[in-house]
Amino acid sequence: MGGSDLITGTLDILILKAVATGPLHGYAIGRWLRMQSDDILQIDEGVLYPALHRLGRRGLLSAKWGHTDTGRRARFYALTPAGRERLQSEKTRWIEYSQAVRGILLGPEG
Amino acid sequence: MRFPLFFRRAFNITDFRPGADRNVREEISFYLEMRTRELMEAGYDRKQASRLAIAKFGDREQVEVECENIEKINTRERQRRWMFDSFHRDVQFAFRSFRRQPFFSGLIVVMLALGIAGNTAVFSMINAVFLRPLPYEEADRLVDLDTTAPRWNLEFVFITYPDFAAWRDQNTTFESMGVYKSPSVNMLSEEGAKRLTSLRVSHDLSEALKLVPLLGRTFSETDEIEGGPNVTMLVNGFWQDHFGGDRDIIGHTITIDGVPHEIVGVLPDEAAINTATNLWIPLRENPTQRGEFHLNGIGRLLDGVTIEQAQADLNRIQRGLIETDGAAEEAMPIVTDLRTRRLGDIRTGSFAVWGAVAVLLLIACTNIASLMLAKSEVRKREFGIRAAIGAGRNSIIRQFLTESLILALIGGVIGFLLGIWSVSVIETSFPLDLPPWASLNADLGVVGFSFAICIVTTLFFGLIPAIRSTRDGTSSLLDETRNRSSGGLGTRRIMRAFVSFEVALALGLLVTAALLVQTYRNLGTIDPGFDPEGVLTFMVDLPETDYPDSRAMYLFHLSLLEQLQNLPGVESAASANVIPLKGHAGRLFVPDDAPPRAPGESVAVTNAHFITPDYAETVGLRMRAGRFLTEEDILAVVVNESYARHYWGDEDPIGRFIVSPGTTRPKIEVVGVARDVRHYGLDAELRPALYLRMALGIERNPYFVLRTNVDPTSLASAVRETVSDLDPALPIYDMETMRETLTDSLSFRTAYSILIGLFALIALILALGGVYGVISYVVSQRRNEIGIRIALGAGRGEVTGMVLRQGIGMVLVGCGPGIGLILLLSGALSGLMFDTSAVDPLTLTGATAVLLLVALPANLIPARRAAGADPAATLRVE
Repeated sequence: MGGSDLITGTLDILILKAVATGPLHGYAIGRWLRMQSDDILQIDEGVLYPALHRLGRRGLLSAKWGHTDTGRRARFYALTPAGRERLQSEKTRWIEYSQAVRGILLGPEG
Repeated sequence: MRFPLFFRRAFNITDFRPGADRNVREEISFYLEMRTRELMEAGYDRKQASRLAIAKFGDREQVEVECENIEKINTRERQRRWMFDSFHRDVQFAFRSFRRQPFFSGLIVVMLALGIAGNTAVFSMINAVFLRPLPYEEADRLVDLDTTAPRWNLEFVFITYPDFAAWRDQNTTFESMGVYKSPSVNMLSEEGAKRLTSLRVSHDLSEALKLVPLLGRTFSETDEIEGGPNVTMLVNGFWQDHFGGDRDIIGHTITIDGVPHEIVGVLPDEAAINTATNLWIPLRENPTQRGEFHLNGIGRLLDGVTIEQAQADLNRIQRGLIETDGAAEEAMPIVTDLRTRRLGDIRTGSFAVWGAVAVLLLIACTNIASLMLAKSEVRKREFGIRAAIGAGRNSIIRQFLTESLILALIGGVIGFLLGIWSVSVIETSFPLDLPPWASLNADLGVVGFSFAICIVTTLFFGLIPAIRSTRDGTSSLLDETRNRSSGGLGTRRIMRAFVSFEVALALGLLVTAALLVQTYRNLGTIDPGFDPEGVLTFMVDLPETDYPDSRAMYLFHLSLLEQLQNLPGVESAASANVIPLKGHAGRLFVPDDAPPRAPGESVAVTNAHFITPDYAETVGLRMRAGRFLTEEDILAVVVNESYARHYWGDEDPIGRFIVSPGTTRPKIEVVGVARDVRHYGLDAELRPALYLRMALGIERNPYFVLRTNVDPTSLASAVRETVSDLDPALPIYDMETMRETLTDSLSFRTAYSILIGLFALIALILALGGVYGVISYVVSQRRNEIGIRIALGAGRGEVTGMVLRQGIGMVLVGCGPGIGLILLLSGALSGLMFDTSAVDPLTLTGATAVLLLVALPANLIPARRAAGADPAATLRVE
């Protein structure tokens, strides 16, 4: 896989966030990620798929085959209740963490 | 893991892999397609956009593999959970159905438990005695050594020391070999005189057996030198019991037969080779002097050498000895497998018992199978409903097997425990006289055997009805009309076949048991040639230190006999070197007018009894002609009928003379012919024997025999006191009534006859239960037909007759193969018979008649029930 643990962890939260508003297929999740982050993650786009399957296995996402607006068959991912819970807790943790880092980085030097 | 096809079908295991593959690939293709379209919208041409999309995606193949792996784990978990759930469901379901039919399930468990208990018990004995390796290192290379002399009319005559010495020195096929004999010895200790069993061994015996002493050393060649220091080794059991396992025992001295012996080592229990042994003493023999045939031998073959090669090797050596060393030309070495030789006479009986108990289990299983089959007909509705709500044929078969397996395991555990328990009961309550190395503990082999029976029986009685009852397809299961009228036809045919099969097996056992009973009865009518009632026998051993010569020994005999005769209750007393059923003193005695023997002509060895004149009266010997020996006779002899017939045919032997070739004994005149005594057992052959005065061949360990007019056992303590008054250092041993000796000589036959008889009885009951059950079932299935017949005017007698004919027909169909089975096995069984042919038409017809006779009520009860059916009721149901 193309990223470190930090990036993998981050990717997982972002995916959960992507489907928070409703079921999306893999391409739509990828596009949402690229748009939101202005491509700063700089990872292979393909990494998305193992992440999706992993989240599915852990019961955070559910997957279902369906059809797009244009009638194409695609696999749609949606948040499970467990996924929603995880998203909430990760969000809190992430904010606390980034605030702590920010406090350190912006504090008086030396 | 890949399961076999049948199993995968039954448990609905499918492979998800190709599916997962396709899904992932499709998902990724979709992504790339959409991404390409997005890039084209951004201004790239199609080719560039496609290439860019692929580049940005990264290693597609790796992503696919990764997703697939994640999916695979997913599927496997799901599958496992599903399998466990369905197994759990099946088990629950099985227990629910057991609860609904406690009698039916209980019956099956009891039948199985009994069958498995019997098999476990018998197998653990077979295992201990025949299957488990002997407790010696590389025991498969150990062989028994002996000498055979067919021309002396004897299969085994023991080994002479010079022969052994030559074999040991000249062979090229043995790693080592040793010889031994097992005389009893007297040990003097604080508690008085004690009788011990010793092995007098050549120093190489411990090497041949690869025995490592627990303490001290083994014997060496120098210990065998006559006149050297006397040494002994204790066997562990004796060391523990008598010396409390004292580790400082080495160097101490014990007095054996009046001679002090230094203890130089302690041997493990395996040193007790075929009898309980207390100690080993070095054998001291002169290899240059042609001695007696009196030694047992054990050899360890070189690696890779066969028994035949070893036999050829020893034959070669022996031929040299005959030519140059004056060895007897009639006696040749014989090499046999150690275990086979030691167990020779109990093999057939043991395996017959095993066969009988296996047949019993087979009958029980057949019964269970037809019970299950009948029940499956009744349960068709239940299965029909299950099928209707989506259970496939496989899941119904699985349900069947689960139920059978659970019943088999419950029955198996109960049966196993019961079997182990009964072995310990048998072991403590009956003297089995097993070799000391055979321990009856259940080992992994016994556990595995019992478990394997469970599995096999499950398949046997679970699978047949399961496949059978679902064969027509599950859709027909709900079709009640069909079920009631003709649907059970195929099932009934199978059940009838089951019954015939059971009847065949039961008849086989019944005939075997009948033959054994007949053999037993024949033995009962055999004249043993002596009168065993009211006779007490015992032995003493006269040590050389106190009784240095024949005269001293003879004087002891005379004074002891005189005092014994004066005991109240004693009618007469005598002493002898051998008595009926005990001992064998093979000597050569031939008529003095016999023509010189042609080379290769057979000479019968004669069992020479050296007796005091009251012997005939005391033992109950009867005369055929002439008279028995008296006090006045010195050079007179009485021969038995076999001897007279062997040497003189129909001529009168009285007044003729016999000689003992190779000795200086004078001619002896025949004064009488005694009736034959079954000396080697009631079921053994008769051999030539003769009776001479004790003074001509007195021995150190004679038997004393008392005829009493009271219960002989009540004299035991008086006899002990009498002996002890004469010589307090003399222990009495082997005290027994002659009735006991006679019973003991038949104990193994009695044991297996009773067991097989018992198994036959149980088999008969089980088979009749099977007949009864199947006929009842058939009648219930044909209720409508019978009702209609009665309504149409068939008489009750006619209906009864119809059902009866069918039932007896099933039994008769089984009788044919049953008799065939006996004919097939007659060769193997003939070893158990005496004066009885295994193909005895009377027994065959008798047993068949008994079977048919007892099968009659088993058929009649359901037949009469059928005839009593109310036609109106059955027609209303229709």
